[in-house]
Amino acid sequence: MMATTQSDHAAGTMLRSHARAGAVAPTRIRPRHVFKRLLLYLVLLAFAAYFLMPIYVLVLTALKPFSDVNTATMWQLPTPPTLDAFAAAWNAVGGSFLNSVAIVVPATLLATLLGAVNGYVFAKWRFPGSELVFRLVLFGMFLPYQGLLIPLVLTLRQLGLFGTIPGLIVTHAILGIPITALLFRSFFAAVPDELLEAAKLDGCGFFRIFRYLMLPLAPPTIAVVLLWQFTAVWNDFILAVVILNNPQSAPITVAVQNLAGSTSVEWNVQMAAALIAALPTIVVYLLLGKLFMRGLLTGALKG
Amino acid sequence: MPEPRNSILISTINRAEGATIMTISRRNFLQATAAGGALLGTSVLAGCSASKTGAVTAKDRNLEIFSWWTSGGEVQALDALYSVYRKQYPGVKIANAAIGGASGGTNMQAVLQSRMLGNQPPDSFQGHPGAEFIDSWVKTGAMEPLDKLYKDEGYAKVLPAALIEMSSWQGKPYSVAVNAQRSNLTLYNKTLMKKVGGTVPTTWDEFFTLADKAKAMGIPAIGLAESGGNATQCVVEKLLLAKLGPDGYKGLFNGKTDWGSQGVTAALETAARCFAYANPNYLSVIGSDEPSLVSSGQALLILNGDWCIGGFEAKNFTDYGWAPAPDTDGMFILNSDSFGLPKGAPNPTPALDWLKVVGSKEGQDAFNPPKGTISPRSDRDDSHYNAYQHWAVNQWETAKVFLPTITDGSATSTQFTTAWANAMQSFDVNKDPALTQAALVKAAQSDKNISS
Amino acid sequence: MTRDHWLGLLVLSPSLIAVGIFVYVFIGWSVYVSTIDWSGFVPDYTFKWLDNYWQVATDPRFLTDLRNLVLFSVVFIGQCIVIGFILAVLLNRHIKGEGIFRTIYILPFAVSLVVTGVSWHWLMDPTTGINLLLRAIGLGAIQPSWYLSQSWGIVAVATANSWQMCGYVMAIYLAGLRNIPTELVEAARMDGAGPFTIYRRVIIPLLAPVTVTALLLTGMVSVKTFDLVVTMTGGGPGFATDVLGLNMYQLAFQANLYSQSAAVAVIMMMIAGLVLVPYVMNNRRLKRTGLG
Repeated sequence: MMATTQSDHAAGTMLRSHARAGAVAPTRIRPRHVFKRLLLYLVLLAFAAYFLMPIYVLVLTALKPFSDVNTATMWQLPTPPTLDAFAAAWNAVGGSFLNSVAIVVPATLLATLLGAVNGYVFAKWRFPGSELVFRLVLFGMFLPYQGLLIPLVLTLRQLGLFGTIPGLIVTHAILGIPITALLFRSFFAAVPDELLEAAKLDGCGFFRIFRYLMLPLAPPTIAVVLLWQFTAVWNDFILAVVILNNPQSAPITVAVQNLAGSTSVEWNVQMAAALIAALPTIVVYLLLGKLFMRGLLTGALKG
Repeated sequence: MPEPRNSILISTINRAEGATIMTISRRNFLQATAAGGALLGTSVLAGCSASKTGAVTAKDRNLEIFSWWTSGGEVQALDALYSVYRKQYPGVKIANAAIGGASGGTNMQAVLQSRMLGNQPPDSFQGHPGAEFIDSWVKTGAMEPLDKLYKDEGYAKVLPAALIEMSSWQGKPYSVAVNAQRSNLTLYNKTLMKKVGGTVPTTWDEFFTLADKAKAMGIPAIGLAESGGNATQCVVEKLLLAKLGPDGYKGLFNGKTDWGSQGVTAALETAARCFAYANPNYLSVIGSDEPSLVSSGQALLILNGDWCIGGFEAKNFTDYGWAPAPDTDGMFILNSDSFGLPKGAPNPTPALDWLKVVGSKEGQDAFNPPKGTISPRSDRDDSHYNAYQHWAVNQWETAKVFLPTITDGSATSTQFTTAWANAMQSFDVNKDPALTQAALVKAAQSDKNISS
Repeated sequence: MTRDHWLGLLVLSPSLIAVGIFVYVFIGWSVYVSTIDWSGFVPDYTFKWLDNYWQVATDPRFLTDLRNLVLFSVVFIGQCIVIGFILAVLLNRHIKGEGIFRTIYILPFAVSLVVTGVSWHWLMDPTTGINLLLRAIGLGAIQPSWYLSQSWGIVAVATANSWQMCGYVMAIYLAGLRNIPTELVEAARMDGAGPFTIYRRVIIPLLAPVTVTALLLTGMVSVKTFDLVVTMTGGGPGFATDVLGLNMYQLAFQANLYSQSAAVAVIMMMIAGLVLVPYVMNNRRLKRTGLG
């Protein structure tokens, strides 16, 4: 009850203060305001240019015929631009799309789910030694991939999972747990304990609190976790190529890599393939962007 | 389980602006769950369809071939070989487990080694015959001997003894070569050569005269691509042969020739002189772009093997000429792609059949024309060979001596080859012959083959 | 411990077992391998104890690796966190087209490190790329040697990596910023605090958990960096941009010196352990302020 009154009070104060600000010398404030906004947009555009610059080079290269691809002419526009590289790239890598989806989606969802419940436990249901256990789990994310290739093959063989897509999915999911647990834990830890106490008083237990309190507050964190996991698994090459022994089930990263020859690399096709391979990730980013919408959480966290 | 409607908690959140937000959140959450469920469902379906042609089980995996031939003429050649196999042995499903990247690419090596060490070998894999292969796989007992195959197929009648010897250990051969490649070549841009007004150098003195002429015209004489490349290794290797002669060169690998000797010093000093005539951006040109240095006119010539010709063809460049590397006429530094039979291969009979196809006249005649290399068999059919390949056949048949290559792992163990590669990588930057020689001497001392 | 606490432990256990196998058994395997003599394809199980570590550490390449790790970490982590935070703050104001900017900033993250390496290899080629642009706009006097610099090449690599990851750090900062109740910020403004003070005293401390997470993630990338170095410089020129991950990979799969490679892996993990220690200390401090 107290919280409600507080928010009403705050909202009213906010409205009043805005009205007050607007009432005082509006004309004097505006030019500075406009200048600041202009500067803001300029800075944003400058950063945008920086982040787009290499992608611009990639796209340019992908639109050139191979005879024109030369580092000396990398900034020059293709004359005329051709989609041949994209066609050739699609031929080579298009068939692997479904394979990548079959690997990435389950691996991502599994790792995210496990990370969410694990993060929840580590954050809100501490037991003796849970901090140490969390540190130990966290330590796992520093294990370099190159170091685990050989024991991985041996282990998967023992489990009968070598050469199978589920084997690859399980591997990705497990290796993703430390990071997803970290991200969720740091988010859940920020949820005030008072809210949990209130829920417990209400008779909510472990799962109810998770479902009705934690999860609804989690969309931005879920977005951030999905961002990381999806990207990491979609762009993975070495694990896929070691674990899967059937080229028919290889993900798209393998197909892109296989475009490289030993005495010449058709850079235009290579870049076109890389851009095609990056598309699903970009689509996922666009979809997840909705979860960053302003105001999603305003007012949800009180007290 | 019904949502607890009477909780202070929920009502707290439900009131004020939070109300719509909570509802949206709930809606979003449900949407997300639905979307997630749909995605999961789709991917399970995708996974099922993928696994139908997917995870190759022991039952339906018939033949898994490992290689790094994934693009251009190389993959065409591999496909030709598969066609021959399918004709002779129908009903066998071939899994082409090729992994792209540079020659003997580190990617492919990582996967191959992980598989072999994880007791999950492929049915056959591509490799370079010689010390590396013997040391890595044969001596450790990972490969089956192929003496019976050699006898049955009569390879001794059509292959030169040197090649069989390179593929053998303790008298038994362990791999079958599908082609013969030559490492010690000069490949040059004909138009540029005419512009400089010279001819392809046959000795190192001639090279430097030519290089000076080219430099005066602003043309780098020699092309090097050292960002992840092995151009310097190739140059030094040919210089070693030039300065030490065939016997001296061979002696480097069994301890007869001291790596600290005068001949090695001379080779390194000459190589150090070459840097001044190289394309100025040699540190940033990516290794696989080396042929494009000649095809785009950035350099007059490169000292590398005939696999670079594939790089020329990829750029539709036909204005190239070839000759043995300076001072190495009549000497054939042999490099070849070969296949063996791992112990514990899942399908030994199809694998052995594969080796038969690989070593057969029909297989090699189908493989070599698109690959741009030549068949080592004396009964080869060269009607589809191009101009270079005809010259190469002639060189092969008239070669006075065949020698192993250091750079591609035929002459020395992996440890030494790595130390060699590292020494050359530093050489690119320090250009110091003495330092480099010291590193090579040190590597030789710790190599069991050389120092024992 | 209540029933719910036991439930939590139960829920945790499958993950703990899985991580136990896929991480700790593998680490144990690496430690074991690093103490025997496995330098070929047949391991020689005689114990060499710290011999392999000695061999690795006395290779001059190793010293370069350590130096590069420090340089890389400082530049990479610094850039990611500073730029990521700034971008998040800028985007948190009511921006027209926020979605477009946000997508552009995180676009590089969708590009694999392999492709990032190739494109930045071209861009930072001293004879072309950015230098060409500089010449074109009249700043031809500035022609840095980028990754070909013997001393600072690794800074170029770190910059390329931060280009790829800034957008993600921005994303987590943005999520964190949006989690901050506006009432707190309003209250501070009511009290007469200016924008900078608000950031310093209210927002940045509230974002401490996000910063810690960002530090951990970027720290992890720094220690494990491999793909980018291979495709951008191959460790060159010479070994100027060599890193531990590359050293480890080549030792195993090029030279087949598996024991030494395992030693490098264990060293990498020990360095990672060092990174976690500040996290432990920091977390205790956060707990005291009620934010851990």
